[in-house]
Amino acid sequence: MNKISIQEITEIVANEAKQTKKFSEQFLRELVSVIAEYLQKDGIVKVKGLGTFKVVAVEERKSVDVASGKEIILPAHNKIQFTAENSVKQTIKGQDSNHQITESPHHQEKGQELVDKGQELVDKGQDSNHQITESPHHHSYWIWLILIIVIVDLAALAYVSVPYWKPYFDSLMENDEFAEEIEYHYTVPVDKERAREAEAVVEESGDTVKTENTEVYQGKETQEPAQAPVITLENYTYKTAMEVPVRETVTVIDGSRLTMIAYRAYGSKDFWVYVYDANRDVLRRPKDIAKGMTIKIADLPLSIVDPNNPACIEKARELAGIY
Amino acid sequence: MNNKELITELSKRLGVTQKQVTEMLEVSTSALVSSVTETQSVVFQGFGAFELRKKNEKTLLNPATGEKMFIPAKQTLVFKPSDTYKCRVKEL
Repeated sequence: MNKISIQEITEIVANEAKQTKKFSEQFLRELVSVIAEYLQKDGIVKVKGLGTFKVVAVEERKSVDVASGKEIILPAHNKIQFTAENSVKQTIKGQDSNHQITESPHHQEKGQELVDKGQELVDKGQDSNHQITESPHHHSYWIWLILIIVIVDLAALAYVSVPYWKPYFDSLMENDEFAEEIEYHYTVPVDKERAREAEAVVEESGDTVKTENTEVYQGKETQEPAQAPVITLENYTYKTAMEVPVRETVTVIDGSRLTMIAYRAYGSKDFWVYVYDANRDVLRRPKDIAKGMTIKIADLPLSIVDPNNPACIEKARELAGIY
Repeated sequence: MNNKELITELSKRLGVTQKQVTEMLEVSTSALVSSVTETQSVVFQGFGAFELRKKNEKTLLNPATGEKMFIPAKQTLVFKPSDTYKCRVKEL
């Protein structure tokens, strides 16, 4: 570890402050002696741009003598505590320990790096474009190389993707037929998935609310075919909660918050946003909930309100963050 | 003693204006911090040394949510009092 003393610091300070060395050294010595003196006197010294020195008392404690193995008591004493200022911490935090490389070797290294990067260029294409401009010698050479690579890449891409765009072009010719086919394929799995999810929901609610089990199940069956596309975490908006059918209604008893209702209905407190969203017509703010109110519980699929899925909880918290 | 008191005391001892002391203090602290980051240790005889110390990376557990938090390794400025000064403070 390199050490420097007050002399070296003096030089830097004298240069930067445009003062004589003598004055700078005198200043630094006085600064240190004042800090030392007042730290003993007051017990605390704050220096702006550096940090806080503090004298803290340490109580006596038991310890074991390393040599003899006997228990000894370390007497109570004072020690000095130094806390660096936040700004200082920030500036130091990002520094690397091997940051001592000066400017000039750094530049040479860059040149070397550039040569090495040539290899990567083949993969990266235009990404490293701006790095090339830094080196004037290789300027035109690199540009040409990149252009060639990009063109070759594009050609390869176009060739490889022929199977993908060809049917699309074909379909454009026979537009109607194709569109129908797609729609057909699209709707069928959606309905199936929906049914599966609905069953899962019913199962879950069956665990918590036994009496409502049959009723909910029947309601489910009739609503099934009329369902809109599958609700996913991505396309959820507050309107979704208002549009989906109501699974059950809950009367607010004293002290029952949105979170509690959500916990009973969906299995997690974090889903209170969905309860709120479904009742936006009566609740202007989430806080507005009051005793005696009738709250609707939207019938949301398990893909959104799964208490065991961290992504669902994450999404709910994100939504909750808006309010 | 806060920064203001430090400045008044220094200006009294050196016989210069407080404004000058403030400027000098600013330059000195920034010089000290940058020197420490470059050479890793600045020693003041009879008082102590400022050093750079590496804090290892660590994982913490949020007690409320049980969430794991990763704190990356970083460097901090530490002050190591010299033996003579440590002893003087100890007896207080």
